[in-house]
Amino acid sequence: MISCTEFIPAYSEGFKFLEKKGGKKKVDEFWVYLSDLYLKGSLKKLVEEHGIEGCYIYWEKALNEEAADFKMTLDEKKGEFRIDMFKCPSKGMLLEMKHMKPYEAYCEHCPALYSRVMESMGYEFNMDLSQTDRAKCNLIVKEIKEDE
Amino acid sequence: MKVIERQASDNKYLHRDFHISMNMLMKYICDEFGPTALTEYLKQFAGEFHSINKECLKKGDLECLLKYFKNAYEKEEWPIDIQLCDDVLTISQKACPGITYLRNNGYEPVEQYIETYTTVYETMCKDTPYEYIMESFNSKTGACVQRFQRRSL
Repeated sequence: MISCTEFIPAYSEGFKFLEKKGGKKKVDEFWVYLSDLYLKGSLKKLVEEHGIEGCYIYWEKALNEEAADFKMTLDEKKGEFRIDMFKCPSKGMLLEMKHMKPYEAYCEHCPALYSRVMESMGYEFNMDLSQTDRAKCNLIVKEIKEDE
Repeated sequence: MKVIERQASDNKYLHRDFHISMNMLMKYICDEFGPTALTEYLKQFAGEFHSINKECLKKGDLECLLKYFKNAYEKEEWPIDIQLCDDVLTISQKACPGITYLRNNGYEPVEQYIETYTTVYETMCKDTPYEYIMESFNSKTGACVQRFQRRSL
């Protein structure tokens, strides 16, 4: 059994395996596959139904279940959604597991999966991954105003 | 304006949707490279992830494996019957948490789902005095009886 609580190391090893088989290109292709298949019925559906608030609904559930250390802000007037991740549970777990080495580009799966969905619906998507060596990052989604 | 701030200690770590992502990863590997590649991947994962359990088995410490499984299933909030008796560890479950979650959410587990047990634990036991035996497995529910025991001479 691979418990859902053991998924993160399995995911990281999966990326390494794909890279060994077909280079980084294969990992990127998998992220596109996962984004299209998995986020279609969850994040995409919520944003289609609720607009930018759909991001808040999606990540509120996911980040609470993943026991993340975070601040999430939805400013509907500004049309902006933001996550400040103080300790990512996934990267945090990988950094703490001394007997395993995380996939080098592990954190890249987040922008790869989410930007594809959000940009396809006309939102601007940005992530700062400059502090992922400390399991920190941030994510910003913005509505693109027509007059901009 | 809506704001939410949480610390890791505010919540229990249990995101069952990861079973869905795991199944998708396995399906992708099978579709792209064939079922043998899935076995290869699971061997790689088990070799890394279970290296600590393998060391326990090498030392003949089945107690360590008992603790590992109890802890893993407790975190998953999944009932099992687990017994360590006469150097044999037996785990019985009425259903698999992954298969159950997938089916309850409209996903079909990959045909080779059993490999997340057999390949993973056979790899863990490799080069140790113990062997892994899957006594029975129901692919619809994941109900199974598993045994870790000393290799016969």
